[in-house]
Amino acid sequence: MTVDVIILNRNLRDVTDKLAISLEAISEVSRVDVVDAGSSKREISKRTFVRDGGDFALTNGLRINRGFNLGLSTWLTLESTSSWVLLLPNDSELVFADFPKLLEATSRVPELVAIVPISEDNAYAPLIDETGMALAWNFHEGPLLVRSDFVRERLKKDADLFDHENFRGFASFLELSFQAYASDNCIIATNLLQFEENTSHLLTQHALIGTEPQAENLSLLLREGKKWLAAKYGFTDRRNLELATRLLFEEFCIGHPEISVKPAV
Amino acid sequence: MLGAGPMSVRVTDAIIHLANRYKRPIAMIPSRRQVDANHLGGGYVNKWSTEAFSKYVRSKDAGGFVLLSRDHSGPWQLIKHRGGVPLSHQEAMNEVKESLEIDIQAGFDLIHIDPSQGLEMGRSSSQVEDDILDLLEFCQGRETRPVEYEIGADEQSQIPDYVGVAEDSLLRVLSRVAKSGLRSPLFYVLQTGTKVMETRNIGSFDSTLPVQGMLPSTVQLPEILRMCRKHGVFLKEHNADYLSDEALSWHPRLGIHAANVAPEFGVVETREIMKIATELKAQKFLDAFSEAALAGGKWEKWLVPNSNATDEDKVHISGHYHFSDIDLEGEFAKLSELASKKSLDYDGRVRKSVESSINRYLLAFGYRKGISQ
Repeated sequence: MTVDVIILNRNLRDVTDKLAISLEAISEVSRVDVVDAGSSKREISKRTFVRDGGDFALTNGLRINRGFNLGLSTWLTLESTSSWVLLLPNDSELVFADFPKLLEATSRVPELVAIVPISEDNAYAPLIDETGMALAWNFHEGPLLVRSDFVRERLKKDADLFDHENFRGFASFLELSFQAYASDNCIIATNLLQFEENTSHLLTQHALIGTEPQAENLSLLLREGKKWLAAKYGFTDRRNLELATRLLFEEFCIGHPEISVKPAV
Repeated sequence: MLGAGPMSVRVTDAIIHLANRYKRPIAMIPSRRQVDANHLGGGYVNKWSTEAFSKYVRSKDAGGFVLLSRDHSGPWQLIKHRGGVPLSHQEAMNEVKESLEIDIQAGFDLIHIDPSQGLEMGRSSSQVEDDILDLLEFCQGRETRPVEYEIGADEQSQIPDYVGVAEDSLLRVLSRVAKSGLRSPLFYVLQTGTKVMETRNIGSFDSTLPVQGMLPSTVQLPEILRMCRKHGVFLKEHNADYLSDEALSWHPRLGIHAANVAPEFGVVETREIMKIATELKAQKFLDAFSEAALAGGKWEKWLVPNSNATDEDKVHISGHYHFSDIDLEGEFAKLSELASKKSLDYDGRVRKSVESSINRYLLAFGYRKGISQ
């Protein structure tokens, strides 16, 4: 069983390549490709397999939803035989990976469609037992491992994995969770794969990356995100979507006592 | 149910008024710093002793809707050192028992047994549980009328407690309570993701965006509530001050049984008094009041690291600790006189802002329903 990796880059070629090199050293990783979200020419990684060089991307970038959607649609054309695709923002730094154990365990849970790597300082960390995995539903956006078949099935139906309209990715992983559990699928948190987010790039190089300063970015994420949530679901509060997802999660746990992975509670 | 801190006479009056208006219980939750036994020196709120405070509340609470509820009673909660020497465990237990005895004699309805300060004084978690048992036994042995109890530490935290850990701790205490033939506590204090710093709530409960390192409250809280229901205790949330209306509206929806709010009401009162003083150009009052608050240093524990709080913010945070300062008595009287001369309803305005602040919580917690019943 192998894993393909897609890294989202915007104007941080060296950082992106360093991350790619750390992953290429892992035997289970079959290929590492880069989605370029409107970098200047000198910041484009040589591993780039698709680039959005349009005016909008050059000015605003793609952010995770549009970036990963573009990466996954390109990945689909490769007809890869890998079982999983790892989606990474380029400010991720590999801390730990036990792919053999993780992939072996995932093969026993056919309902599993996505895996969220949890680092030691993540609030979920104390809720993960010695198996290294726990069923969960409410995650902060970051690295994500998605099952290839799940991606193929979604894209075949012309349905992107993430909502293109939700530009800054407000509650994107929560929405994915909502969709997964509503479809009787599940998501796990794992410490068998760990990344750290190097926030210094966002704090010190936001001008180069082409994003707003962090405080402004958070404010826009919230403002635009709430608007998106209300327009799409009629919810005025993120907690409405959280509660709906939680109910689906609980129903899944009741309906699947055979799954050995325990819920993170 | 709302647990409201009697931060001042006005806040105390407002709590009594609103409980009677809605005909539903509000827990009045003095800490020992605010109100304490006469022989232990009383508290900073109106210099009230427990005995006088209880008498005052009972005399005004016509419908009997106020529950007198001691907040955070436990060894080392009020006094950690005497003459520069740390109080021994025995001394600290004796000291708190003196206070508790008067609480019970004064007719308190609910007592929060909180020996968690012992953890800072070298006690283990298991020894802290011993103290809970000791104090429950002490109190229940002195009851002349039914008293309810609240247990659980209130270590202000930005994130909710992990359910497994909280459940283990609760089960240990409940099992020992049952073996000792004592009555079980009614409330269990657990972290729901509320944390008060300066004049805002920085916990995960009211965080509009997911924060790295914090679990969203919707992950843990339903589990915590389920665990409480399973073991027959009610969840009491502490530090609910400054939560947004949106966050408060989720309390009944999630099923949180009770929530404590205290410093916010004192801050609201201070702000309104300073606003009026500014309108009246009562500079002498403003200077004297600010000087007392700044020099008192009660704002220090509320500041976030590397705080940008101005002197004015510090006065807002800590002004209520000085409403009963003898040195300020004259200044408050002059301010009231000045307002009266200018036909400004000083007392009415301050009372209104305090009531409105408390009312925000009551409405969010569904107290409105009581009016038509």
